[in-house]
Amino acid sequence: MSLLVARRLTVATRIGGTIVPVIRGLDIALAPGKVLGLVGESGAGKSMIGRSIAQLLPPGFGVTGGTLEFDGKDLVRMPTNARRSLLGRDIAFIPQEPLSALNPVLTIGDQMAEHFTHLGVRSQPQRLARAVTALEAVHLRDAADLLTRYPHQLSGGMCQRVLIAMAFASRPRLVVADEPTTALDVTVQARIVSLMAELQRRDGTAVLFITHDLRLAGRICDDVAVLYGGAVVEQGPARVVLETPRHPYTRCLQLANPALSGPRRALYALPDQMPGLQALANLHGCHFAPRCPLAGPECRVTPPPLSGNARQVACLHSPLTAGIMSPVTLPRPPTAVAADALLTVRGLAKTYRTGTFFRRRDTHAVVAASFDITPGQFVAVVGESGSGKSTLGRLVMGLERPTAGSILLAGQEVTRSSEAARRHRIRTAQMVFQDPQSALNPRRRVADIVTAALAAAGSDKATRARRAGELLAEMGLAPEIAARTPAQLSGGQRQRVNIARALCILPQLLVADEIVSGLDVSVQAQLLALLQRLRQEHAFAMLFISHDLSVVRHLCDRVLVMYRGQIVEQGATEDVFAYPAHAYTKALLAAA
Amino acid sequence: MILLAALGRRLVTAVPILFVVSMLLFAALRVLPVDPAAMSMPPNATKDEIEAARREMGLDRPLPEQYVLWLGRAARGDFGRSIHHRRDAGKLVAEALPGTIELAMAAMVVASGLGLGGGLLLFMLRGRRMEPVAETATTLMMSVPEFLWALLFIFVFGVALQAMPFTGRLDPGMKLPGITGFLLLDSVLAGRPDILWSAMVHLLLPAVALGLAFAPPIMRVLRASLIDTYHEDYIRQARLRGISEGRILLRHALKNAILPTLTLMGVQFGFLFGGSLLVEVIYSFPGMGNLMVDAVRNADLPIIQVVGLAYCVVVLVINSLVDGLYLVLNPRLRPR
Amino acid sequence: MARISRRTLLQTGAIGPLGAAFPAFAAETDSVTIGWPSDVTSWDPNQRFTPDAHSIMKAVFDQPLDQDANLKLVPGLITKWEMAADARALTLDFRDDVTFHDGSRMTAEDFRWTFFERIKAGHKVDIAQSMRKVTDIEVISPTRAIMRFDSPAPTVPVWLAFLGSFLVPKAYMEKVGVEAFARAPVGTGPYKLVEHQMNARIVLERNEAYWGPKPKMKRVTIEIIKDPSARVAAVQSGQVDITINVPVREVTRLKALPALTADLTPVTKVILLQVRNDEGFADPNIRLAAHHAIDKKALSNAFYAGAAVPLSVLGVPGSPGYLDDYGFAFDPEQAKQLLAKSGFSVDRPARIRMASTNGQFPSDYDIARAIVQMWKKVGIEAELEVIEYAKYFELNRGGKLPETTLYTFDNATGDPEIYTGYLLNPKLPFSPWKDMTLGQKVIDQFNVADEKARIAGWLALNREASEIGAAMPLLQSVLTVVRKKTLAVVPYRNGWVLPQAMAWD
Repeated sequence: MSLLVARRLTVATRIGGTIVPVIRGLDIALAPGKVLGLVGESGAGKSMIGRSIAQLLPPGFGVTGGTLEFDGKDLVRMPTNARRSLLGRDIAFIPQEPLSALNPVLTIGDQMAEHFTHLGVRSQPQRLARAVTALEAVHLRDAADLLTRYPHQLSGGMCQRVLIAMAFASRPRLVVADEPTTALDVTVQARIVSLMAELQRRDGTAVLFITHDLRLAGRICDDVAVLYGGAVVEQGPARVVLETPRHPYTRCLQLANPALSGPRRALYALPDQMPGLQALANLHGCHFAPRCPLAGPECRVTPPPLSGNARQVACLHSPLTAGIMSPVTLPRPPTAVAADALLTVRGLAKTYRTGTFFRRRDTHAVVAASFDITPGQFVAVVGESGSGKSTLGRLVMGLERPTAGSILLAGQEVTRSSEAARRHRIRTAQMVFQDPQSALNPRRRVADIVTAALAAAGSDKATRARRAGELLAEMGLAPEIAARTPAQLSGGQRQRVNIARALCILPQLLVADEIVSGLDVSVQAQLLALLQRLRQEHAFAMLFISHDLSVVRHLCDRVLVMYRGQIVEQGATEDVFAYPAHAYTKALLAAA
Repeated sequence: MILLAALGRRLVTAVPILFVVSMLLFAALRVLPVDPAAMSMPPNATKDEIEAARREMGLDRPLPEQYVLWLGRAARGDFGRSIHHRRDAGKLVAEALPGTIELAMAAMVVASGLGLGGGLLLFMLRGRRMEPVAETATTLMMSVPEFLWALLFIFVFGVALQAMPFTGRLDPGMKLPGITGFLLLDSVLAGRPDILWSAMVHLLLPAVALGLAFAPPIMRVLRASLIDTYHEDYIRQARLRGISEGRILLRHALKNAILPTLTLMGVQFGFLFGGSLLVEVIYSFPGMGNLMVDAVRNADLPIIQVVGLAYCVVVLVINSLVDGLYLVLNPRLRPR
Repeated sequence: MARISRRTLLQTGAIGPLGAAFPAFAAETDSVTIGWPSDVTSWDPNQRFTPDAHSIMKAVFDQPLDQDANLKLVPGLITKWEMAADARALTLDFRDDVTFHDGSRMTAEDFRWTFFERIKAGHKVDIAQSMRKVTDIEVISPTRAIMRFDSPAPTVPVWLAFLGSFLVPKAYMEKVGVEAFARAPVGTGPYKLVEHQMNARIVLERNEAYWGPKPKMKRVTIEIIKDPSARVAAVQSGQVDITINVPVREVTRLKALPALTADLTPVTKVILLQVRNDEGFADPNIRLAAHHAIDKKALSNAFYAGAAVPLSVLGVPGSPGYLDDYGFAFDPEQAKQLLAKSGFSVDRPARIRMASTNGQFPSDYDIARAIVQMWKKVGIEAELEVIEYAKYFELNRGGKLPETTLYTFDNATGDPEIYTGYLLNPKLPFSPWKDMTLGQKVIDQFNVADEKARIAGWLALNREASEIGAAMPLLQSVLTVVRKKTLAVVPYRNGWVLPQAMAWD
């Protein structure tokens, strides 16, 4: 008997007068004690499923068809009181952003006590005891002391453990984990996932594990369901689906993930992106058809049904899926010609001084960093949050003043921020930031944004318009994008605009700070392909800051591993990843 | 502990602020086209006599020298003599201050209560049918200044209904206990519930008039703050844990949303304290407002100076307290 | 700590909130509650000339000489006074049955203390001004004293009935000091000060040992209500039994209420235009034209419900310096002719500047604007600016006053020396008229010893001043009094509203 069953569940919203479904005819079943992974990219509707279970859909969204049952009870039509007694007790949720999921003005103890009160624990000492037990179950030390702390005093990983403790405290029948590790560091991710597995085994809890990471799903889940455009396209036991995917989308997703080991392949870049809600509503036939390499005319007539027994696929051409291949192995890029280094960094350090006159606190963000970048070389900087990699990038760009050390850029000393240094640096190096949402001025048009550097140099309108057209074409963006504002673009498009802006005056060095983090796998694949193509055409060097080792392996020639402000290991990427010397590098690779 | 430390820090920065304010007051008053020496003499004084008075008051000396002299005396607690009353200025203000502070505090209680309660109500009405009605009511309230409320209340409660007194702090025949100057406190200390009652009744109309005028912005900010807070992740998480809506509002959301509202309340108190001047005049409430109005009319510079400084000090103290309270309520601001 | 008696508890508990909120109404027939627009600045009555608090002072203190309701000088603490022929000595006989509130007897020693010794001791008192000429006060006996002056001082008796001239006790004041006296005063008046909450309330109780006629009111509560609207509300709601200085248009409304009545009494305060003798007003034609062009009756109707008497000389009807038979006509045609003589007309107007206060006395700014309009009709273009009352003296001292200023002046005694002698005296700060032909005459008048000659001189001066356009009096001001119909009060022509002169019918 399944614990959680969705039968032809449809969740829809109203856009401009028409009902647009965001989840269509969902059929999933979760047996008690099993872990089901829901895999999909952004826009596939996976968070909607979690919200439907809690019946906390955003305003304007509602269940318009099908059923959703928990333990035989209808979740959709259940009265509010009954549902509220289920939530927190029998059904628990683990959120995506742990730091903001806890009330910042209440102590951990207060919030846990409130939870236990809701669970029916009467007395204060009992609640305290239960809280301590719960925290110890998630391997948090000094539980009693932790209860007096506030969320901002804890790290992301610790907060997530607290939330997991609260979720499992009532020994729930079902735990819904909505991207629980996305916001965490790589090493922490691994530990959280194994913790969840441990608790799940201990209590026999059923877990609905929502993620965009196919490989992660493979590690923890018993079964996996792949979502595209609001419907399940493939379902089945996790390992089987991952080793031999039957749906073209699953296969393409697999091929779009850069591999950490094995031959370096060019990534499969699916064209465009997943259609938006409105577009989906107007699409007849298979939703994946516009992007599918196997699509034929029969695919565009009616949506294929989900068929099969233990394994289910919604595709008319599923037998052909295995034939989708990614292009040939990429050759290793030419080793650096023994040219003069473009960027020479020696003994670079940055210390932040905080605190009052009497109690000074020094934060050593970067300590004695030394490395070179030769022209045309892609060098990665990897590390966890707090390792100093972003600071390093900002120092190179001149956004921070170094406390010590020297930076030579194209032969000129740029350590001190003199006017001459600044002008030279701007011509030679450009920076691309992680979050295109905040990096682009929402009120300016794309054409103005990408040619901002030219405008600063005093070019006339005609030159700028021409260059804007060139840049957009290079980025693979349609020419009409030039007149749009960032708000009207998708995440991937925005990131391309970001890169275009940096490349406007053809710098010799590009500093890229986590530019593909937070993007969907397919969009990430597109961007990585773009970067490689641009490298062929313009031969610029790049300092690529990232925490994602597989991306780094795919893209970069050399890698610098940073830990607590120091470069603990550096060398050719393949060498470092195959034979890591430093303990930290080993830990990173193990966790990835 | 944290509150004390914050207060201490604030008070240290308050000293230079007071210096600057006193200098500005001093300079501004001397620039005014009134002649305090002439005002201090009877109308039939001759020019020579006025000149003598001017020399005696030190008004013929250069401005910086006058200021330093005044500062030196002020540091010792001597704020000069009121020209008009011919009494010690410091003592006059000390007598008038408790009344105004009592009024301002009572008004702040009204404003806060109305503001917070109204804000919660506005928030709970969002999306419902009554919301536009409530919003219009708030806007109307905001457009009525405190002196208009004051006059309206006199008309309705004092004249039409003849239900409430609207002059002074006590019923006639009641003597001031005179212990601290704060009537509500003194009446309790002196064990006189009848004085306590009379004081509260006389305080009611002016405090409500002032409070009504300053409550609407608090309402609006709390409502906006709550709406913002409700978008936060932890609210959703609490719901997902099965916590009831009421508990979420009062225990989770309010504690976060109160923070910007608190800052506003500190600012509002400054304006409220200044607005009490008009209300005091209308209600014949013996406090600093009345003292100041007389002083301005009579060009009584020492009084104007001290009252101006007293206003500044009170506002600084209140803002420091609010800052401290903010620190207590927002653990993220505390030093780790 | 007082014990909370059962009675107090019952009293506050039994009476409902509304009942307890009511101020103690004058339900008894020997108490009265007065709504007064200003507070006393200090209970040292010699300290400050405060015309606004004079009525209150007269309840607690007595003046050596007094005035009756028609301004006539009558005996007060002094039974008989005799000015020497050369006006350099004044012999005074005092009553022997006067006691201060603390029981001590009043003697001539107290008179010497008040009007000579404390001034010499350097106390900061305004009567140092009015008693400036006093060289000594000789005490002959407890009931007789002689004042001696350094120059002829014929108006000292008038001053003894004027602002600040109240008798204070020597022994008591020396014992407690000036500061303490100013808080807890002791006088000879018909009332004792029981309580004073600054800017709030004054409570007086009848002095049972008073030498004069026993006041009808045993207990007088004076509520200090500075805001005129609040005063109107207070009298309308019955919270006070009588109040003054109510806007004229409210008077007509309040009069119609069944329980209230109102009086518009002409008083000794005059509303006038002070003028310069130079600049735009150097030409007497323009001055006289300006005066002729003002319709004073219309002003009275518009702003004082017709109760304000138009004036032609500086003074009020019934005062010694007033000329009953002289009238300065309202004649716009005459004005135009005078202007034409100097070459001005409506198309080519004479330009002058005018200053007025705004809010200093009721309708001041409106009167000024009305006058500007009247002048426009005959050919005078006046630029009106608003000044603060305090600024008047400042500007005058610097010679910077405009050609004319709207002004008010009060003189409780009615004596012409305090009207014309002050308003047109170049040596005093009130007058912008600096011409010495008239000015010297004014100054000389201060030294005329013979009473008859003195008054005759002022009468002549008043006429001359109006004739040459040095004085432009406008209206005699009115005092508005609103009271319960059953409360009677003696109306004084100088605007005094005395608690000892009030009685319930």
